[in-house]
Amino acid sequence: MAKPKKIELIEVAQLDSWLGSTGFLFPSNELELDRFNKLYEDYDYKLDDKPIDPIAIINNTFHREPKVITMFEENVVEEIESLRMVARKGKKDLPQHIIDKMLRKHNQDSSDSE
Amino acid sequence: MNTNTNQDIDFEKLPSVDLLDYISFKDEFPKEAEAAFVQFCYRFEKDLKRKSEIYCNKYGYNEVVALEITHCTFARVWKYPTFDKDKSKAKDFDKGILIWMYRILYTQIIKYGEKNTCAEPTEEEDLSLVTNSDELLSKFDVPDDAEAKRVVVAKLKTIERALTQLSEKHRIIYFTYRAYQKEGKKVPRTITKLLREKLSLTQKSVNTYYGDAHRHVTNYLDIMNGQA
Repeated sequence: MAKPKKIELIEVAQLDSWLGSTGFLFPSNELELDRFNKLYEDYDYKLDDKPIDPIAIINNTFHREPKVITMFEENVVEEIESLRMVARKGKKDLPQHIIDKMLRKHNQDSSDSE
Repeated sequence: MNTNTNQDIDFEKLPSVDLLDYISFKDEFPKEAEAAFVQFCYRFEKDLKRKSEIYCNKYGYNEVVALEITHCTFARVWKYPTFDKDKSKAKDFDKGILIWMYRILYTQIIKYGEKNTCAEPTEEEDLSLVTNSDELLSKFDVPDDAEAKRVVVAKLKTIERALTQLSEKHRIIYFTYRAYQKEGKKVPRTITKLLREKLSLTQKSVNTYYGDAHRHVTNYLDIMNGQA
């Protein structure tokens, strides 16, 4: 790591304050808010022309997008591991026509790359 | 608060704190409360949408979600206009109101996706109910005015570098934990449950992800500071 400049340094004790000043956490005071506003004054905001609807809020009728509850697929690592196990077991459980198909595909791929 | 209904109230000229007062009397004076709320939204909408865009971006949500979260934040203000100007340490009341609303907004982001409605946080989940962080700030030697933009940009870059190697799951868990810790709160069990469900992790993994992320970030800062 190149020697950092003094302005780049952040004391661990002040990390939360800087997280709150740079948009990772909410600002907790005017200083953090002022830093935040300086930092993002030129940001390309996409919602400036999209108004909110106070009357719809009062009537509780504003539009909501359907929710996606799960942000990540079920444990992908476990899934890959189980596939690896199948691959390791290999020929024993696989019907001959599948093995033949795989071999054909394998040979075809090799010839493609040549 | 002027409650004489024969007299026109110029809501545009009222201080924002007074608008909240009118909103809080929505059962007794529904028309005035609505007019006050419309003016309140008009006054703070742009700022709230912008903050929502930035926070949602850090959480991996797009601007459609950011707009919805903004709606939900104002919906909470309509329902619970509980800003306490006596507790706010902000010199400028409008900034104090914004700082209060950012906590409501952030709580909505943390709880986003739990139900197909705006989140109804419990007391322990609600980040807007704690307003003592100004006292924490006084422990440190900090400037009265914000530093020059180049200084703030330099700090942002440091944080971005410290976070570079963290996965999205690490980041979401890290920000959620830090948000509660910043307010001196323990992460509520309901929130750790939500994290487990949203990220398809066990509680042990959630703890490990936070521990790893925290160690990674602080080690990075320590090395930069020459203290490692």
